Amino acid sequence: MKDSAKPKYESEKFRYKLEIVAKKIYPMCPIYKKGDKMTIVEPAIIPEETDAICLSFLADLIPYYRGLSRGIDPKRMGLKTEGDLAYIGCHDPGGQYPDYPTDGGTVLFEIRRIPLTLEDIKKYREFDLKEMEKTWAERRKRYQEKHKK
Amino acid sequence: MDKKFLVEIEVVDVLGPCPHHKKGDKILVDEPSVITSKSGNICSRAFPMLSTFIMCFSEGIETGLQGVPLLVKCPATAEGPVIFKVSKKAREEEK
Repeated sequence: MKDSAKPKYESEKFRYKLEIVAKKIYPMCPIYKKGDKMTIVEPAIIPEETDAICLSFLADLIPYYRGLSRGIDPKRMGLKTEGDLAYIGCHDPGGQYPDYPTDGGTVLFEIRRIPLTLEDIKKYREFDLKEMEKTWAERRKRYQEKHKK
Repeated sequence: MDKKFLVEIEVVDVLGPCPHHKKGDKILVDEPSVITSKSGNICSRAFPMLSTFIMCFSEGIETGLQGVPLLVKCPATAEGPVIFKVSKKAREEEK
């Protein structure tokens, strides 16, 4: 199979950093201005690389962030794509759709996915993979013993 | 503990192709339970955002633009978006 013919996001084990950037503001938003960014390294928001966090938008993003972080093709989640970029809207129709007025505006976000290696992830959080694997093995064993058929 | 109000979510418009919802679909919630016998399709991509409003409306606290029902849309950009109207409903209305 040629490289170009391979599915782009084939490995569930592969992780991505998500940079979510306010691309278009219709016509105003009290939280985000154009270019503001929120960075996620699943399952955390990285405050040092984040300009603003809107909890309402977080609720919009929640169903998507894990799939996006683990390489699922955004098209399969109903998101528009353009090359490597994906797009998601906030839940407020007020700014973009005048027939549906609200007290707010609408923000369209661009989602950039940056592949992460294990070493990259270690820049964001401290962990000892060998110790974690030992713990996971113990838990797995306990579960399998308890639920043996 | 019974909540003060039931919450009704109605699809008032579908602005593009959407495989999940059609105009007129309704979801009725007796927070925290969805009354499945009186609800249509429930989209798992839209529901987390709708849940934040359900909590307020079930206690009688309506959010949004005064004089207009609360209107929200799903976050999808390749499908829809679907416009939902969220409103509180007196329990007696459902009996």
